[in-house]
Amino acid sequence: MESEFKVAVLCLFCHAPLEAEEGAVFESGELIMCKLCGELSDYDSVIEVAKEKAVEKVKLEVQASLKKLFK
Amino acid sequence: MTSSYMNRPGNFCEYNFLDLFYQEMLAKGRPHNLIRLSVDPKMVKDIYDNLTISLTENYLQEMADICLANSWVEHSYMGGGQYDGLQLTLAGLGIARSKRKQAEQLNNRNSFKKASDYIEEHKGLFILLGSIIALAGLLIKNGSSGDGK
Repeated sequence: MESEFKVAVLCLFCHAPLEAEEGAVFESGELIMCKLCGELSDYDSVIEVAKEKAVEKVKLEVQASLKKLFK
Repeated sequence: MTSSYMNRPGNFCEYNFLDLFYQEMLAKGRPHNLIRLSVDPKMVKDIYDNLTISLTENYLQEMADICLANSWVEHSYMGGGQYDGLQLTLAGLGIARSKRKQAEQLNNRNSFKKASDYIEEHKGLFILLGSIIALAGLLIKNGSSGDGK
C-alpha cells in the first residue's frame, strides 16, 4: 500500500485543479478564484471535497491490500 | 434546450436551485445529507411564496438535471422518480456556500468599490461614450472654426 497520497484541490465548478500564485496563503472563509473558469470556490468546501476524495482513495487502497492479503 | 438557458425566469439558475437545499438546511438545522427535496408542485409553490418568482415544474426539472449531471445533487434513495428525494452532495454544498459568500462580499462592498466595479463592468460603454463625446467635441470645434472664417 502506498504510504503517501496526493489529492488535487479542484475547482468546485469546473473541476480544474486550483492553482495559486507562489507564496499565496489561503485561510478558512476565503474564496479561491479558478484560473480556468473564473468562478470563486469557498476554501473550506474545497478542502472538504478534497478530504472526501482522499478518504475514498484510502478506502479503495485498503480494500485492495486486504484482498491481496487474504488471497 | 439551449433556449431555456437564455430565458431564465426571475434569473433563477441552477445555483439558486442548490440554494433551496441550503435554505432548508438552515431552516431545519440539519446537515446536507439529511435534507431531501423533490421537484413537484409544492416546490413550485414554495418558490413563489418565498421568492415571488413564478417557475414551471418543467423548468425546475431542467435545473435539477444540470445539478444531477454535475453531481451537485444526488438521489437519496433508489426506486423514486428522477426528481424525487434529491439531496446535496458535498460538492453541491460547496457551490451553494461559495455563491452565498460571493453574494455577501458583493453586498458588503463600500460605495467607492461599488462605483469602481460598475465602471470596470461597463468599461466598453464608457469607452463608447467617451469616443462619442470626443467626436462631438471635435465636430463642434470644427463647426465653430468654420463659422469664424
